[in-house]
Amino acid sequence: MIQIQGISKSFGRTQALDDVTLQVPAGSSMALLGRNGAGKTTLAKVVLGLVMPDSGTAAVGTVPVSDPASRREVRYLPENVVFHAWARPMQLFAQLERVRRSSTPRDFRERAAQLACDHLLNRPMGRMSRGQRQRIALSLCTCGSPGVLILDEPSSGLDPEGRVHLRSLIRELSAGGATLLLNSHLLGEVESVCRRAAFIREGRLVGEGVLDQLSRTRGEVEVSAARPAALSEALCAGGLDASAEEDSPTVTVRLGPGAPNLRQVTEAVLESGEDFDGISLRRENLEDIFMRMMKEDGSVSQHP
Amino acid sequence: MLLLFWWGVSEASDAYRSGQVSRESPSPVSESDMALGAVLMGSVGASMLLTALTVILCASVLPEEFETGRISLWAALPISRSRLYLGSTAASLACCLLLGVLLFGGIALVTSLYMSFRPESVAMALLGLVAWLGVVWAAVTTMSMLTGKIPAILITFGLAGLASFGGGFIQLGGLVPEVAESTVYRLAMGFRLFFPSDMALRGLLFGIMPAEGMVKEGMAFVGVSGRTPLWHPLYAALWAAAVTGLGILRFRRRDLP
Repeated sequence: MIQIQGISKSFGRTQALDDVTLQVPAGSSMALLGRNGAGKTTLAKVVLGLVMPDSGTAAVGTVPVSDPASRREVRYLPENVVFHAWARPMQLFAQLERVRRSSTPRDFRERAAQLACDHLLNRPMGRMSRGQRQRIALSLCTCGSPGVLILDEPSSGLDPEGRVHLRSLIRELSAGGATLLLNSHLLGEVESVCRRAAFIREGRLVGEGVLDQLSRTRGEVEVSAARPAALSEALCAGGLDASAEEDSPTVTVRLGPGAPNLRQVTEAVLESGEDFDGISLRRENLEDIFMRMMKEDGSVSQHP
Repeated sequence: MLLLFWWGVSEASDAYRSGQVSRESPSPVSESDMALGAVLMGSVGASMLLTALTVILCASVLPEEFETGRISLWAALPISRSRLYLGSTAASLACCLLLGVLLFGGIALVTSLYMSFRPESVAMALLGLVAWLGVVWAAVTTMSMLTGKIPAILITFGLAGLASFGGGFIQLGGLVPEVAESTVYRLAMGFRLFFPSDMALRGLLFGIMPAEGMVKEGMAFVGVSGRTPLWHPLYAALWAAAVTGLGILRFRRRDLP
């Protein structure tokens, strides 16, 4: 478990973090989301002991982050780390393992194979593309069985295949019990691998919780119909605010005085006599939640 | 460089032994004084080369680790900041020490083929070498963390240059009483405690000097005496350790990129 209690940090006049309190339960996967410069990376660095907070405490498990022992189980992938051009992945692995002593060369080779970069293990880093270097960095960071993973923009430079491999790797590690703190601007990627999210705006935590519970209904009902235009016409005739989407079998019905909830929309669809495959309340996706969190004022909304 | 040095020393020695250089010359020099001169000439070049290499190499290590973000990768491992600081920077000191042993060891070795040395001075030479490079390394490494690479190089070169000038002046003061009474002399005495690279370097030079080397007033201008107290390189070594400690203290408290 990662525990962050009342962390504040400023760089000169810039308040990077302002009284942030957050818990990442053991074995959970949490995304840190916010605009550029919101304080996400600073928060991750506080957890790693790289940045000293002005006030507050942070701990991994029960060990405060000021103690190097707190990082015994932690693996960190910084954004855009530049290795020596002459360094080869196997040498880098040996250097890292001299300190962390938690995985074997076989673990590293297996992880590299999983990320389709095992053929690069003896090639100098300077002779690799950016994406290849990122795959190697990910293999170095995730080989073996890490307890806590802190990944900063891990898909940076990866091609679509690499991103698929990365998502599958993160899911596998999460399923294996690893605690994940992911810093990424790719919301689709976050949505597919993280169950929880924390939203940071201008250094303040403005929302945190399980994604499904953070998602609100959007005041719309989505009906999948065989003849969407006909269904839309019928519903409008019945006084509902409905519209068929172009080139799509979907009819969108906005909730309002004519149909204030899903039940009444369903009844109206049934009365229309049109065939339909499904009907559901349209909920916010992560992008919607993100945009809302970045606009809303007020205190932290928590959804445990 | 060592080959050239060897050639020069052998030629000089042969000339001396064959009588081409007269013992009755207006300024008679002993065989060991010739060795002293040879050591001096070789050492000046070697010390300049090694100072430049140490300053430039060691000034680059930490700023480059910070710039590339590698320092964060290492700092996120379960090791203390002190170990990280020493682990990141000690390799460059080790390289410079190795080169120092090769250069000055080579000079001593080539010279010893022709002139006699004090074997007991080897310890002093080694202590002087470690202390001298330690001072330069500690200063430039700590400075590079505070000011960045280029200012650290310039400042350390400036300090080393002043220390060298001050050291020569102090030697001269030991021989000429009028010099010892001057303000510059007193300033030089203070400065050598502030930045003791020259004190340690003289320990090294004393260690590889021939047994019977005599010091002439002229020699004092190039700044080498026949004796260096043991406390000079010891003080320099302690200074290097203290500055390294300050560097570690600063590194432990600073935020990493």
